[in-house]
Amino acid sequence: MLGRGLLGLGLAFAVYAAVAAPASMRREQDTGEFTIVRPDLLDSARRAMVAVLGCVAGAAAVLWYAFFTRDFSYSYVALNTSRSAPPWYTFSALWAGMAGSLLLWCLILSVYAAAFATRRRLRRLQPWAISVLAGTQVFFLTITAGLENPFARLDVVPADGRGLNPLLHSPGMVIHPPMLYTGLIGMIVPFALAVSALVTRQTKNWVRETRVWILVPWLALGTGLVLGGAWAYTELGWGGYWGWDPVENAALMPWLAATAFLHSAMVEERRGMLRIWNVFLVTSAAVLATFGTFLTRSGLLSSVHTFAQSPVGKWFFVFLGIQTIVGIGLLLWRLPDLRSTAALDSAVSKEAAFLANNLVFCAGVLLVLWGTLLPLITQAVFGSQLAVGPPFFNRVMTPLGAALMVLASLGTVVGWRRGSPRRVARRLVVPAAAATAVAAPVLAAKHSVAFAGMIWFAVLLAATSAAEIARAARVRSRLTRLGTFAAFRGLFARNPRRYGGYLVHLGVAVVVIGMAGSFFRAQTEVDVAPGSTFRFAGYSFVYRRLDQFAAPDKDVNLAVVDLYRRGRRIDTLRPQLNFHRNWDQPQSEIAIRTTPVADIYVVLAAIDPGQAQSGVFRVHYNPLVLWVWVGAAIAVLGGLLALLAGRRRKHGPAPAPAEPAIVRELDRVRVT
Amino acid sequence: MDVAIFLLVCVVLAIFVARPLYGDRARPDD
Repeated sequence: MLGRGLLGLGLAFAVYAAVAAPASMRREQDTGEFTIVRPDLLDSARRAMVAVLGCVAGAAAVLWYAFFTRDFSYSYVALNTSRSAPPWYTFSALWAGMAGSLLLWCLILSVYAAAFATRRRLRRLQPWAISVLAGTQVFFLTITAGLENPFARLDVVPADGRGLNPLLHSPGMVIHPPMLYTGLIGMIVPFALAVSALVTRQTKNWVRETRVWILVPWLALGTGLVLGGAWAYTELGWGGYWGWDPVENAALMPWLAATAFLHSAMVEERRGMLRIWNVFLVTSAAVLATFGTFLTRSGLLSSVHTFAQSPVGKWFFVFLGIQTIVGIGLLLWRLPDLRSTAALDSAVSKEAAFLANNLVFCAGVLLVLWGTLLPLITQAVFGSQLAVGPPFFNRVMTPLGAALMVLASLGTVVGWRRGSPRRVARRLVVPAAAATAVAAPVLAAKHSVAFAGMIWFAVLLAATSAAEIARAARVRSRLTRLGTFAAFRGLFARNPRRYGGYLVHLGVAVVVIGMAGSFFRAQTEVDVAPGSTFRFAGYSFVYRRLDQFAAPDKDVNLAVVDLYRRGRRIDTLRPQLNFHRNWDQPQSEIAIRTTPVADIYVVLAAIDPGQAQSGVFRVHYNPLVLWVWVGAAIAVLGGLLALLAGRRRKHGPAPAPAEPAIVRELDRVRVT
Repeated sequence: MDVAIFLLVCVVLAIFVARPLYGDRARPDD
């Protein structure tokens, strides 16, 4: 009763905020400007957003309490945890099913909405943005409390619960869903700001206010995608980390749109260009994020993410329609306000590079969207489903990725307005030489133009980004007479967006190097008895024995496999094939040996239950995978620096005492 | 018990939200 009651109360506050916030604003007849005429009403609506957060957090606390006290009278608790579950999987069980996922969704949305509503500097943009956020809360709270009640009770209380889905027994699953949700849901805040700017005709500076609000979900979504990849790699056992699954694609598309916006927003801030485009991108990011949720929840397309399907899918479709109509309708309505104030001066300029990168990003979104929706389109038109697989996506996305890396390198070295081709060429010579120095021997050794090409593009971008950071640190060190490290730190403190961005580029380049390794993946499957040896990818594998024992919730079959290279034992791998009694299904635990050169990835796919104890092993040789995770970590660090270093600067200490006395004097005079 | 907690939360949050409208003066528009 308490949990659902709190959701209902939160819903009431959200309805109030959605109406009260815009009612605090009025359009002046003479100037046409929107001004806040009832600040008390706006303050009350802002407080209502905090109240919604309190209610939803309270409801989540009720459910978590039920999980930790093993209160199996709640159907959701009985289905998703058991007495033997460790604390961290008890905690993450909250989002193991549909109803809890929606509750987490409401919680994260409420955190965003309350954080947005309590900021004072966005006051004139707030009323309508709060209305959009509160309207979104009304939708989610209605389906959470009304359709998918996580607080439903059982008539007969079981002695123990079913336990968490064995596939979700992974540390990544504790972080991946909340991170992904933080990314997807967060896209609604920039959308709310865009709606507010369009309604109240404050289209001049909304982009500057929006950047931080899109940087947070962009970073979270990117991190969530990588964590999802890591989960797929370590848990699913097919040897890869990205399969162009519809749900992966659905999370990738808003991320691509948001990445495009992070670049095009700079063009609007600097030059007053791409203003219509920016509104369109922010709307697209939000609509694609909702679309992603809709795909996951509707079960329209088959996916590995089938943990939670329910009829709420069709309501998401309605919400998606409203969001699209509001976004596009407002954009068309305010089109005259969004005319650019400047034109492109030269094709050799930062804005031209950013414009081109935006087009490539959008081509990427459209191609992924097309590939994802093809089964639905062909089903509707021809009556039978036609799907495209990873080869299609790899073929179309690889050239786009190469184009983006060249554009990112160009965009790093070229200036605003009118760049000098000669200067650009001079600054690209060394990175291009470095790229060639690495790619040429790779081509000679591996005889793959595609692989060597990817390495060339990636090293070009990595070298350009690293050279730019090093060059700026050197200049700063010379001017300030600081040591190199202090100058380096100063760079990130003074211009976190730019240098954080370069670090993200560097990380992406390293990720691409890791992905390029997939050109040389190899796989084999063997059926061997204990004591046997098999060879694969230059390694010898000795299957020593099979250990079998019972754990509280599963029967464990653990194979001990020694790994030899050039006659020397280098590792012992222990893949498992476990039978989860509550779920009545087997689940592989994969053994991976990671090195900078390649991963050896061993899956115990089947065992002979008899005396022979022979095992079927699927072994993958995955080159360079480690660099995907290293690159992603560098990119996330860059994103965090761009976000946090900027904050510190904004709220940093007062000007240093070394400031000229005349400036202090001027400040004093201005105050008095 | 649940009902008592729920009613208490209702009252506290309602007062919190309504305060700017009654008494607690809102800050001027910035």
